[in-house]
Amino acid sequence: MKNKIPFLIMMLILSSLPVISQKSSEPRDEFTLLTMPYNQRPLSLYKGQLEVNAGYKFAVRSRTYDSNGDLILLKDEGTASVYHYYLLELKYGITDFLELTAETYYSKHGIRSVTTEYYSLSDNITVNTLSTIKGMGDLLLYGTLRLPIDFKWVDFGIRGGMYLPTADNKTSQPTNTVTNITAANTFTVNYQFNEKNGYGVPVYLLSSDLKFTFSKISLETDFTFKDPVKEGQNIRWDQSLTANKTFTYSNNSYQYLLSRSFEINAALHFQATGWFNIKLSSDYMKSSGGWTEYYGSKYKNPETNLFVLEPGCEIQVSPALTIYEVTGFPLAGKNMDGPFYLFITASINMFPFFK
Amino acid sequence: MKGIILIFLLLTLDFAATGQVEKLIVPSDLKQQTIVTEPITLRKGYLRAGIALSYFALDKYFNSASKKEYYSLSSWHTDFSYQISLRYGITDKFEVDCSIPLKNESTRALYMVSWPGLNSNISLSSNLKGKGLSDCELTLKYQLVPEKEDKISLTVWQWLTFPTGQKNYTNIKSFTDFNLPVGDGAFSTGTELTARRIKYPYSYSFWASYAINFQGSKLISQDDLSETKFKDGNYLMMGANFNIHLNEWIALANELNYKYNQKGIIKYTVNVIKDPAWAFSYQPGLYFQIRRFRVAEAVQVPIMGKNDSADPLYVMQVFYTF
Repeated sequence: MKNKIPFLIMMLILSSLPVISQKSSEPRDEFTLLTMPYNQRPLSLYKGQLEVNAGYKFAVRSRTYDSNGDLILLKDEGTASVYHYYLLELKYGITDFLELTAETYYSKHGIRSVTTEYYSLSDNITVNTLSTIKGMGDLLLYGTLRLPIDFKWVDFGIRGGMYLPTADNKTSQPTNTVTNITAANTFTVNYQFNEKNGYGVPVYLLSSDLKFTFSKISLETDFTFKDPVKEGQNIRWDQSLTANKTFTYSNNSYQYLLSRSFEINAALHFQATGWFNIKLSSDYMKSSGGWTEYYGSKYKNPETNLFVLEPGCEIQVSPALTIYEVTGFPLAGKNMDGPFYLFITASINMFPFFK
Repeated sequence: MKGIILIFLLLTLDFAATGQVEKLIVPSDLKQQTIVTEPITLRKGYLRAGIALSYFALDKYFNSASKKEYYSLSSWHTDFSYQISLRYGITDKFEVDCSIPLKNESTRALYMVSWPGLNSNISLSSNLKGKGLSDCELTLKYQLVPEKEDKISLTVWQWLTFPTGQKNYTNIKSFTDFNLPVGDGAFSTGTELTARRIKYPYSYSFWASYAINFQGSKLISQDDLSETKFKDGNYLMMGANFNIHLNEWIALANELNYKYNQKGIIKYTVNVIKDPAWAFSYQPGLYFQIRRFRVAEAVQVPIMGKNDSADPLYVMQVFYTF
């Protein structure tokens, strides 16, 4: 009996030792993968992982850059405006190295022009002009392929895909009105032009992404190129004011070729804790080429560029839910609006088909 | 054999001892409760101080036919204001709040006048600003039916707004160069009843309030030579909110609210009536409870309305509980 007691005690202690001391070097359980912090996360989703991103961007278009790159403060002209952008994105990890993504958006934006009052000996006409851009955007489908290695400190991926012209981008008929009619030749004309989102033609996308991690600090940079597959066609509306202060409309179709564009982004990330990552990124976008037809003649599209600084953060709320917040500060540009923006995205992650 | 079983049982007893953890609630923990778990009024002796930043820009409005429209004139109005807030628990059921708003608004406009026959153009621009202390508010909250676990509580709020902000246009140099008022120029008071229930990890509440605006006098327009008596319409508000813990320290708040403004009156020689207005809004928000700090961000989105603004209002708040 006495001989058995130390043996029993030793067995109990020994049996519990492996449980206490064993630590898996690469845990692969669902919880660990879903809570993987940014600095340890590869550039694509894990096999079987589904990610649904829903985002909202609120932008204030209070500045624009002219053809010389000079800053114009639209708020000083009273023509600043608000831009609402809603993003929906679905990602799925086919393997640990291949991911498929579908993405679309809805946005609405109204741009006012400077109110002008025209006087002549007989007329006094005030003109307000508003252009609205509203509607669903095109559907973007792309795949991401990354290096077939376990991510330790470096990762590289390429993306390829296409914007499918799913959005109805044909310009709607204007909804102009005449108000404040105080005399036959004294009234206000309110021009309202109704444009829609969407490229109208397929546009392909090629991108590459590189990520380095050094302990809590990560550096990620990507390059994206977009080019239209072919020329597109849209309609342009003309209007005439009738004697009874209503408008008649007619339209003409015109051809266009979208500009090709590229974008470079570099971001520095700091993993403050497992659930909180902060970043500072810079984004440079440039477009060139393309043309637009005006009454039978083709005119080259203006070259555009924009440089934006984007501080942001990532908060892991729960294994399934992550929140991303980004603020955009435009610093320089040419022929482009430079809106200040806040972009918040809720990201839901899961492994729906694996247990 | 009995001895072996006894030793085995003694050895396994400590598993239960190490596995059992009792969470002790201490006063410092209570100060770290979230919007879901904390009582509707602060506990006795607790002080919460904070600052809220709010932003909105006039871009769209609900017209008299309840249709959302863009403002058509080239004018841009923004309000980027701060509000200092102090809350103190006098007893576990009775709280007093004080809010001190600091307004910072601006209106910029550009207007072109053209005489094509004379080949002449004139542009008129203005950059109007309103900065300073706005109308301060004192609120008393009392739990009529105190909060108890899993039971509905009922709280009454009574507030009084003091016209501490500058009510008149000042520094008037021309019709395009003057300072905007930052106060309403009249007292107002209101009562609110809130019914709330906590069912962890959720809390939900229903509330209704009615506010009375008293008569005041001010320069209605910068062109006016003397003050005119006015009375803004009283208003009714009601709403429901549902808060849920996303994890132990982050809560998602959702609120639906309705506001109805009765007609107001401006007592010129001939009275001018300000039309009634209403708005139905949705307000989602995220509340981060980081120890005694509470950081919140919320946006109020008008969904439907009439004669009211249709622009979202953004609010960011930081509080600390002492």
